[in-house]
Amino acid sequence: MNFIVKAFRYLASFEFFIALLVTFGSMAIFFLKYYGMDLRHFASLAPSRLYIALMLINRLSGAIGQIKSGNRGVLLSAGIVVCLSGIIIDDCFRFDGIASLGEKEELAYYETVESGLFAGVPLTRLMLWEMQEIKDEPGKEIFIFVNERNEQKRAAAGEAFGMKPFVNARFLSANPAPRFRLMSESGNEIETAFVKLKLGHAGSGDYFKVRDIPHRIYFSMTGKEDKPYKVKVMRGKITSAEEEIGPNDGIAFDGMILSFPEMGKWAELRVTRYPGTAPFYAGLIVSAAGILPFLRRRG
Amino acid sequence: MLIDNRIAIRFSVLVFTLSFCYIIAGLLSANRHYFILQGKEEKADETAIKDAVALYDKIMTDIYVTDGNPLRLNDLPAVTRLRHEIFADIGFLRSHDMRIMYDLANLEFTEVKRLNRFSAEATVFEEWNYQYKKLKTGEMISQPKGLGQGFKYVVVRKGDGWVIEEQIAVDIPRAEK
Repeated sequence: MNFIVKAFRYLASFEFFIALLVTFGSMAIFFLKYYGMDLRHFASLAPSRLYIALMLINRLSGAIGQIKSGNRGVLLSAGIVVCLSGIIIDDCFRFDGIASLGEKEELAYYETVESGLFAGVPLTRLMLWEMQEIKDEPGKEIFIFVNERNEQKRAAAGEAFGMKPFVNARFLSANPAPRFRLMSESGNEIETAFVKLKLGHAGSGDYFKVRDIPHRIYFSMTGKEDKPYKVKVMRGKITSAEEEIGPNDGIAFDGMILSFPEMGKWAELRVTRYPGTAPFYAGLIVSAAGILPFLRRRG
Repeated sequence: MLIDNRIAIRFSVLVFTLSFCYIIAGLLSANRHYFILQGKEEKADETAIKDAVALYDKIMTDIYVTDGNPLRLNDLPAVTRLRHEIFADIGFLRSHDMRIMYDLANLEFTEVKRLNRFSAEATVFEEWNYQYKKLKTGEMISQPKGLGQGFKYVVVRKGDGWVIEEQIAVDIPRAEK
């Protein structure tokens, strides 16, 4: 019985916490360096979760004991508990989603989502209202977003803005959205729509598919003024047509004619919610304040 | 000094034990792939990825030759979307009373890049011969033609093997022989 009590006391001791912290830290350094992982990903690994939970239980029981005995280390333990709780809250409720929005389009779904076990999609409304060219910087735009309170949020590529408490949006990039028009040789319109393409520098391309035909349409920008679009139509392994065209030209393939009469833009957005970040930093500040009594006594 | 050494030894043993426990917990958990060193896997993966791409082209050829016979469909190392694309193409040709005969003349890998343990990209230059025939009579519609095209295959690990998730046409120069 005495051994069990001693073992529990040791598991709640500061020495055991430091040993856990040193192990966790050294493992983190290895994983960050070897796998190029970020700290959040490392903290979400199963053994890391176990160690964070152990550290939290250790300091929680330590803080209870310190309150009872009036120990001066209580503030430090409380700070660590808040800090670790922040990490656990982040791990459980984090949300990180990528979405794309065209002009006057409302955020309705995310293309990719990484989220914690108990996280839901942030209930928020956002619409891409319009795009405005930046004066003196041709080709660069400011995108204007409108949130649920009808507030305008202006952002250039790479800029972030707050949407709700703990919820942030970052406007990652602006990309071209050409409108294609597919006609039969007899002149009937088969389909027309804007397509969101992800094109980087001039020459790099993306492809899209049109409903009911098996072709893939590869589209890239040439950088030329008279023929700005390079279009390649493929069916299986075979190239059906390949041409550089302008907005008023068409490209013929397999009994159809394809043209791109209009060019729009779309915005790629990253919406994140990390509700544990504030408790984490608050815990760090409290922990730092908790170290002060120890330093004062030594001084 | 003696006490300090004892504390240091006790602490070091504790940290060592905890590190060991961390790795054991990692190996037992769903994240075990992070705890297995990857060097040995890479060579075997490269061979398996190349085999998957070659098998994809071979079975795809068979499907076209048999005008969409799905006998070997389950062996095709590709995601459902790519399988649908093949059958959509065959359906398109059927609606024009045609079928296509593919013949892979040459397949050269220019790069196999592992993105992580679960996905990789293989860039290939392929040379094909093809010919259109009438669906019902088998009569030749066109003369045999040849094509050379680069493709980037995005492959993902599935069970013990790899399957093709995406096939993107890329402009790469013909590999020098």
